[in-house]
Amino acid sequence: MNDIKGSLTGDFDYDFSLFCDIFKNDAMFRKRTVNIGNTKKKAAIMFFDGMAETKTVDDSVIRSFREAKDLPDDLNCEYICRNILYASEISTTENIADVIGAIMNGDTFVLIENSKTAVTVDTKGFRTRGVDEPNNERVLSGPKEGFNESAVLNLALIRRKLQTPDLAVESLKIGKRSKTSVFICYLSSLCPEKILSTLKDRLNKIDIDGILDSNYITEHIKDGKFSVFKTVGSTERPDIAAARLLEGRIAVVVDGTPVCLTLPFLFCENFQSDEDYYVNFLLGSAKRFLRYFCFFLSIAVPAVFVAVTTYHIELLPTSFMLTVAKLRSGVPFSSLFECISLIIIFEILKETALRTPQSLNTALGIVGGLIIGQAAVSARIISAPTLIAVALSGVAGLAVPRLNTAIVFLRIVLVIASGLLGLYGFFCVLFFYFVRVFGLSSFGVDYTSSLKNPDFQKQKDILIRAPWDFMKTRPTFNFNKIRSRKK
Amino acid sequence: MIRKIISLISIFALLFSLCACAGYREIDSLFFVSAIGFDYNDGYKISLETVSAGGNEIETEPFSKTYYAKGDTLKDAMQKIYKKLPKGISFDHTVCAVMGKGIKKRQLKRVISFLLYNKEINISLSLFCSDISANTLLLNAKPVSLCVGYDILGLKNENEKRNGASFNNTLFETSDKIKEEKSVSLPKLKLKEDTVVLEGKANDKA
Repeated sequence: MNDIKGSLTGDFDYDFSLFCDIFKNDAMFRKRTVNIGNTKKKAAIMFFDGMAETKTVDDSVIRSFREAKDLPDDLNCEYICRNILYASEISTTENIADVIGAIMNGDTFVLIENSKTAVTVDTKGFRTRGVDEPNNERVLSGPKEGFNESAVLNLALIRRKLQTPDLAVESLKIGKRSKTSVFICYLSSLCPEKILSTLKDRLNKIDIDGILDSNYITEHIKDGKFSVFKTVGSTERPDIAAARLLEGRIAVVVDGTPVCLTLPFLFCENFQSDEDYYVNFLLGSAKRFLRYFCFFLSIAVPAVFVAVTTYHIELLPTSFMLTVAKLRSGVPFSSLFECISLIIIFEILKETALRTPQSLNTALGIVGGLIIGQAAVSARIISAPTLIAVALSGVAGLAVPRLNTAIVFLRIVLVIASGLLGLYGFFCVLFFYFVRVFGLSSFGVDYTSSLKNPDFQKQKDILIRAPWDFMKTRPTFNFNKIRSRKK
Repeated sequence: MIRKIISLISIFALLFSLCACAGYREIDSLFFVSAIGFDYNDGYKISLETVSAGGNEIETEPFSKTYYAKGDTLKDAMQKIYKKLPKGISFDHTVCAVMGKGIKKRQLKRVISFLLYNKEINISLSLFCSDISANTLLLNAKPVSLCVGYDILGLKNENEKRNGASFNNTLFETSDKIKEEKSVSLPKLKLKEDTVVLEGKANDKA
């Protein structure tokens, strides 16, 4: 169907039957013919039930045709668009492929007798969720609205935050079969052209049959395709998207998904939360610092525990060493095996909790976390110190949700390296990852540029969240544009 | 990319095959030596006071036990102890060494070089001397804390705190004195009614 080419013939019966034939297998396809006003000239109206709002079709198209009066004898497409149809957005086309695309997108197609030009009326009206607070990015204070699956609504939410003509929105369709609408959003006076052109190049190169979620696009456009670190940001909150746009970044809104992509995405952004800016800067800075600490705890605690209790016992204080040894006595498995098993069990519990109905989550937490954990320790299948180390690391990891993938992989790799080579292995792997992270870039911007810069002025929104009076300039990657936040 | 992955796997395989698991020890499968005693009488007698937190059986509390053996040389005596021990030992938490009966300057030199050659032994380990045999001291003294070794360290720290001076009796300091051919004085331990007592004050010549 995507390959149908050609133009309308102007033969009403032929063109009408052509479209009926194209959509004959779709039960939701609706078609109707009406007379325009009191003339004998016919118009065929075609749309998809569910995609188009029936009431809008009735009011904007059918009623306008039925109520039309004093019509000229040479009634043509241009006259219909200008004087008859009530709809706010109307376009005309002769191309059959364009018509099919419009119908599939929720528009209503109006075929007019003896006319080679057809009219498409914007009647999109499929049901969407409300503007709810996103579950993945909850905040205690600050806006509670989130994106939903309608790209148009998402763009409106962004525009409500940035009421400036500087906000540019470009659209394109990606996916040979899905024809998903993708919108590139940026503030034209702030966004670096180089990043914008790189993004457009990468988007145009996407060759796929369907885009069902923004992650399809992320995987196609991201730098470091095999890296566990995110180089394209994502958010479900319009306030975050707007804040990123104000920094000169680009937002990519994909129809059918509540997740908006932001780029370039730097390493420090993993530790930033929108709530940092909605609370006192001291509390915001403390929380951000805590997130850096939690990331380190999350990847290092089980690995260091395994290394220290199996290779470097001399590093433990004697009393602590004896406590660990006492609690480990009788456990049949090695520390390494025990630690890896517990990490996997923790991931299983996390995955199960995600897929379980919310009403069962409490029961799952009690059975999975408390009963199994307690029973395993009592039965000496696992030791309490290992359980504490893995649990601490797991909980700390939840404080940095954007680094979830990296944390899971790093944690396991570091534990294996520590179990095989001790702290030597731990530092080897950590060094390897440091090299990897410091070598990454996001759309030509150094991924860790903010961390490498020793200038305190440039650190004001990295390790800490300085008061707004101090944050006078935008991020450093925006070097060729307006740097001052006050302009 | 495939080249990179293969070279990475090769590097890790080499790393692991060359040095993997060389020093791997499970914390619960070790006896931790808290104190070492040395005596000399036609051969060396080594006494190791060990602390264990359990093993295959579930132990309720950590317990201490002293193992000893006699040999012509220090190495020989140590080999005999190793044969007696049901599981591995660790010197990572050894806090003191007691030079007992018969350890004169010549033997002390050998004991110190023996301790220094043992890479696992902490060089800040404290050295003490005793008029009675170190074996008797470690076997007969009733520990106030978990074991006699930690009691001795406690006595030393308390004494140093009270007098505001140091005994300068660590393995490192003593070996330096011997190298520089200075006189060596170690704090003296005595057994009073089954309890270890420390004679002298910090920096006093014992």
